[in-house]
Amino acid sequence: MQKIRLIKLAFVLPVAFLFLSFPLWAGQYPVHLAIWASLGCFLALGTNITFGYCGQINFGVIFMYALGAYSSAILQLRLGIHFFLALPLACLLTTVATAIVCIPLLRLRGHNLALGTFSLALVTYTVIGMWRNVTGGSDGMFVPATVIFQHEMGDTFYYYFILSLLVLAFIGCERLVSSSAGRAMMAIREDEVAAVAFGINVTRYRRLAFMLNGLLVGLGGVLFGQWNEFLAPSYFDLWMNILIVVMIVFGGLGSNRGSIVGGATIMLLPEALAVFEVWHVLVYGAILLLTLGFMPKGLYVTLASLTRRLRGDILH
Amino acid sequence: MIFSINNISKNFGGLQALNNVTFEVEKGITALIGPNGAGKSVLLNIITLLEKKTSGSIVFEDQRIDDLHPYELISRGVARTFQICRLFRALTVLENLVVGMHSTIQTNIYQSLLRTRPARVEERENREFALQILDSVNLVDYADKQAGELPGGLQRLVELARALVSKPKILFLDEPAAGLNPQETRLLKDMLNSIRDQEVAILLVEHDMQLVMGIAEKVIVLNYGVKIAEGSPDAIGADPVVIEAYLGRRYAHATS
Amino acid sequence: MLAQVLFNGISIGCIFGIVGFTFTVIYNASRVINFAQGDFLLVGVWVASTFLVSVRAPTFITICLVVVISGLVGLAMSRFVVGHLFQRETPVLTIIIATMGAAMMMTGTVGGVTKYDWIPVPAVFGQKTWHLFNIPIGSQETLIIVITAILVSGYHLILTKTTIGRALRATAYNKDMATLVGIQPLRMVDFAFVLSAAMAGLAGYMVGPISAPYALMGFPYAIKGFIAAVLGGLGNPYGALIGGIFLGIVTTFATGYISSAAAEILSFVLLLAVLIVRPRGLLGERE
Repeated sequence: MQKIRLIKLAFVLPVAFLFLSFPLWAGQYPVHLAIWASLGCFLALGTNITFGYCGQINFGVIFMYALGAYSSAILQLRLGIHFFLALPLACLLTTVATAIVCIPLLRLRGHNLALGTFSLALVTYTVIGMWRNVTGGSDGMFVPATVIFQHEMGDTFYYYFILSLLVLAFIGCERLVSSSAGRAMMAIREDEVAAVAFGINVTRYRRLAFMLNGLLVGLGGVLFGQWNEFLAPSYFDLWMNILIVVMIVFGGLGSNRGSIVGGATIMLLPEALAVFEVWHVLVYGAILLLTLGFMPKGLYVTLASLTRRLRGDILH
Repeated sequence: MIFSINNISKNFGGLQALNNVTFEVEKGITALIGPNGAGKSVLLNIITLLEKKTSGSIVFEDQRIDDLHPYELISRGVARTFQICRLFRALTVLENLVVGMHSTIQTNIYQSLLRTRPARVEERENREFALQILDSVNLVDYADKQAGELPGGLQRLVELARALVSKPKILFLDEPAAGLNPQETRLLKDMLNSIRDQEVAILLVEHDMQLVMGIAEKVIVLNYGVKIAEGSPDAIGADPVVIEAYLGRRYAHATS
Repeated sequence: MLAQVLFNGISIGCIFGIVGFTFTVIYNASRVINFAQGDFLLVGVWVASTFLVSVRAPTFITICLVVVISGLVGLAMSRFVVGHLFQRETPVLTIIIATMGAAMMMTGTVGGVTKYDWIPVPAVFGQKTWHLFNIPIGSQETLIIVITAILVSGYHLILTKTTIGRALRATAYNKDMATLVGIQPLRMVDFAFVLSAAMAGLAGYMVGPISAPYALMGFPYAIKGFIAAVLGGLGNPYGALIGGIFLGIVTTFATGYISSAAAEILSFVLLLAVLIVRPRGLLGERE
């Protein structure tokens, strides 16, 4: 056992060092991509909590994403609040707003919940586009740059800032899984009737799942807006709404690591496929279809269980 | 420690599923039997607040419990198993049991997210207790197996173990012997006896007459939503009303 | 001009209705929300364009080719995507995302070949405009309405008069019972897909000449079809058809008198209104 631990450490340490020193040696474009991928991870991690752990359908993720992004931008632009204060405020606002929309939404289940959350996405997209005074409408709005000690922050700052938050978020999600709250959510997913019989207040935990979803996705929105320095409805359309769900299915429902893989991959895929020019959509579709066709449990989950079995065979 | 079911009636539109059913469950093993469609499962669901009654009241330890939320019942000491196996299939056997203890957990979510000392201690203690219970039913070896992958008979036993981890005062079992082979049924019988010896009251809804007559101290018979008999197993076995309900107007014994 | 706008609205509404109709048929048979429904139209339009323009095939042959090839695409999707995943007991959500992958492959194939350029499709009767009670009505628009009526009646006949049609109804009504009497659910899914794809493909060919077809047209039609299905009541194909026609009328008026952007927003508002006020849709739901 000790030997395996040492081997793991020997592997992990250099990789960690690479991640930490990344902006120092990699070019601007790779750092840009790394940030872009990390943002996807937030979206996937959060959405995985409702879909993967609690078994709830949330086709309105874009509500949380947009609310986080726009509220942070508005707090900074119109109220002059500094980013470091706007961030937690925007996250809090998104979480509370999610709890509020849960009041009508949690009466629904199954495909009615799907429709209900989907209408939330529609409202969000429509409101962003039409509320010119507040959101800038279809022209979009600019987000003030992050200023620390009179310096405007660039990609390097965002890389470290976003990555550290992502690590914290990941740890939080992992801890959630092994906590009683996480188990309660999974119990609801597996068998709601039994969950009730064993003391789980289903409404409360469903709401908690949605709120945590809102927190993480909202945070992703805040960070996206801040880094991109510009917000427009096109970033929060129905396509993005679905894409977030694709992330968690692609990586593996109910797995935090799967969400990291899925989030990063789906965010980076359009960039990677640009080489195919006209054929990029076909390749995208093929990748999605083939992955799900051969690995319906998700890319990460399937590969992880495969390696576990292989390792099991080697060890015996 | 008396569990009273008083005048429970249930109306489904025009269909009267239960009609003024009244009885008490006390210490020991009580069996609820009756032909198919008699309303046993409906009654059980109403007692455990998973379905709404039309009228009547349910009292446990001198307190009305029928106005509670269904999820509050277990903290009053009322646990149950289900007719169709309702295990949390993707979770391990051990995790299933730990969920069974959910109502006893004192630490909150912030503590568990921050992995504070009280949270870690409670988690460890819960797992140890769950393992103990698994040991008492000889299922420790399956602790880390996915519950959904166990064979049917073992799944039922896990369900029973899950009901026990909350240290209930009264246990409602919905056809626990269904799908068990004779060996497993004997094991179940021993378990039920030992549970009874630990002062936990049991209400058993069952079809397996041998099991019922072998361990029940009191038997209640339901037919078409009405209680038609109540008494000791021998008295019930000889009761012509009961025999007629099961077998029609031909006289034969329900017991072997 | 009001009557003309109304007529055009009904015509495009028929297309939305067919998308919604076929979408619902698949949903009833498999519980799958088919993201590729709009792309079946694309397949139809593209096949039609290829044969009509490059090969100068006669219209009748083209129609047959469109129906057959679209149907085959539907079958392929049912066999290799949906059916394959069903057998591995994958959750419905994963299958739905897989249909997205299939949709992207269809879009991507046509897009790659056409380089996302406009797809030329000649109208069946040319650019003729007929007159009905002094109202100018387009020949293609009329054809759409007629074809829709034929398709839906044909569907109804298949469902009521043929064995396989009855089997499909049984499956939609109660899948477990249907399996008990020997109906194989996967064959029903195949049947639903073939039928839906073929109908949608033909609809695509019909709408091609009067819209501006190109590789990315699939998704917007899918959304309209989805809205139509919800308007009519999820689970009722005929309701989806009516929902589609209603949607078509509303959006055509909005485009004509306000703007096309307003039409988009209006369709979303309509969906929201139905979801809030009457989630069962106009014609209610089977469950």
